Amino acid sequence: MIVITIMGMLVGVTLGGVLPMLHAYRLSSSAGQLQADLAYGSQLSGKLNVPIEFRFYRHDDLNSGRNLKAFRSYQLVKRDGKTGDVIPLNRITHFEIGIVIHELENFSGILDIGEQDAGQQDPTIPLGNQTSDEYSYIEIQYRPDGSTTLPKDKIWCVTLVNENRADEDILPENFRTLVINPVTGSVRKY
Amino acid sequence: MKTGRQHPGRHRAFTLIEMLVSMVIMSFIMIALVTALGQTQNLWNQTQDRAEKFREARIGFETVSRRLSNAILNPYWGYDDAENPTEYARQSELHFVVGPSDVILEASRENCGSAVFFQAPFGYGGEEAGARGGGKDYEKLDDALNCWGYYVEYNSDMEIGRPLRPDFLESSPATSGERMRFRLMEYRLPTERLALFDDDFAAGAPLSEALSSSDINHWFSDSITRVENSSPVAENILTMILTPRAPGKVASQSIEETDIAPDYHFDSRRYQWDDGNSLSEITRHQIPPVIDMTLIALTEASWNRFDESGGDALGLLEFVNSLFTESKRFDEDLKILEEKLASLKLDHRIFSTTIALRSGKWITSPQK
Repeated sequence: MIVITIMGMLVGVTLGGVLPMLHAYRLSSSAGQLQADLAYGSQLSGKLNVPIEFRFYRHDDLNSGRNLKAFRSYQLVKRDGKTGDVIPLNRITHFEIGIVIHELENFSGILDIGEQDAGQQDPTIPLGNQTSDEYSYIEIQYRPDGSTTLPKDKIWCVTLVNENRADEDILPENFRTLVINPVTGSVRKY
Repeated sequence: MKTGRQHPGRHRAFTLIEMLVSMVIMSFIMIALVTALGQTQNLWNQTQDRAEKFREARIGFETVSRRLSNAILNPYWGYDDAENPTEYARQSELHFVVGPSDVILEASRENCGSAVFFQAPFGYGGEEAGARGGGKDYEKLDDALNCWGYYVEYNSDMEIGRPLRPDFLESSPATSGERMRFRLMEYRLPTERLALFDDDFAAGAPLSEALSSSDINHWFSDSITRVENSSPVAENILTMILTPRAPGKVASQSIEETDIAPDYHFDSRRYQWDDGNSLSEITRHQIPPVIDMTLIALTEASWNRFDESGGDALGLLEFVNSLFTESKRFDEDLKILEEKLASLKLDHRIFSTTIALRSGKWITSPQK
């Protein structure tokens, strides 16, 4: 019994340290990936010489079977010059499990752009084992000169947090914020 | 009669001592594993930091090269004196200036290395540029003229009136600290705010009649601190050195390539404020055909270490500005700077290229 108790305490202490570290790692990983993909969007726009849209998708988390809508993924798309149809340029990238964009505009200023429901011109997106058009999105457009369509009179940011704390008025201890420069398209991670 | 020692289960169980010994061994193994994991994580972070920081520097480097190559001056031959003409001379309504930032920006801020300001047809204007009201009129003018520039500044991301990050980050312990960095800044003036053609450009006189470099340069020096005009392109760029060059020896004047800017300073309107200088006629309304650009980028990790250990950033800025005063000494100065950075344990990388300015058609005769 003594041994089991000691081992239990050891495991408890270890898990207590590892879990927050794991969560912080997931946040950092998601933020790093998003930062790299935002920079890629800006460069791709210059390379293809067409405007590129960077879309953040808000949808259920079908992997865990919960119907809890949140901004969980993103994708680069462009418009067909003739039809206006949306052409995906890469696969949808999902944030790490349990990581979403904070739902308050105070912390995720890009939500101020306005959310749009998916329409007929928009593609379906894969959710779990099926595809769905029941999602909404916000988008940032990159121009070929590297700038964005975001108004220049504001600081634009995206804050990633654990989904359990995505609608709280106070920021949790663990978060990552990306600040997007609307003029140059550069992204800074905090 | 059975005794405790003959109990069949007693021989198969571990004793408390055995368990404790095995736990100690396991603890050693776990400590070793965690240490190895920590070291791997550090190595990973360092590698990632290096890749990310230099990626940003590469984007900044590419941006300056691409933009600067589009600089124009639209020169033409016109009367040397509108009221009493005696010959034709090169004329232009535009302005190109490159040189030490503490000279052309007059040390108004913490600038490091060279700065360049020019005009180019980038079509940046209207609502796209943040204008309100009738700004849409400018949006389809893809080749409209803009004033543009690049310089390096040591500044804060929490500067009053020009913050680079949202307020809420200050309340979080993890992100509350001010981030002082050397940043490569881009200056851009929308088409509708182009002031070069104003009749009262400088104290009631047009640009062509301004008589001091500060009057001539005020189209950028006055508006450079406004948040909507200047934005960081890349962080941790210690300095940018721009060396204007002519494409070979200039015939009949016996001057070498770098002699068109021996002190790195090239001004297409030098003749207005430095009439006696032999460079005034040579550079009059000309764009240097070639500019050598060198960017020195630092890693975030090494700058963090330097900053947290109380490193003297302004001292470093002054040291850099005390170098690169003679373009002929460029190689020696660069070597001195590298040695200095190595002594401060600042990891860095040097990016160099030669930018050809498409509209820079070097003409050796000042008049005809």
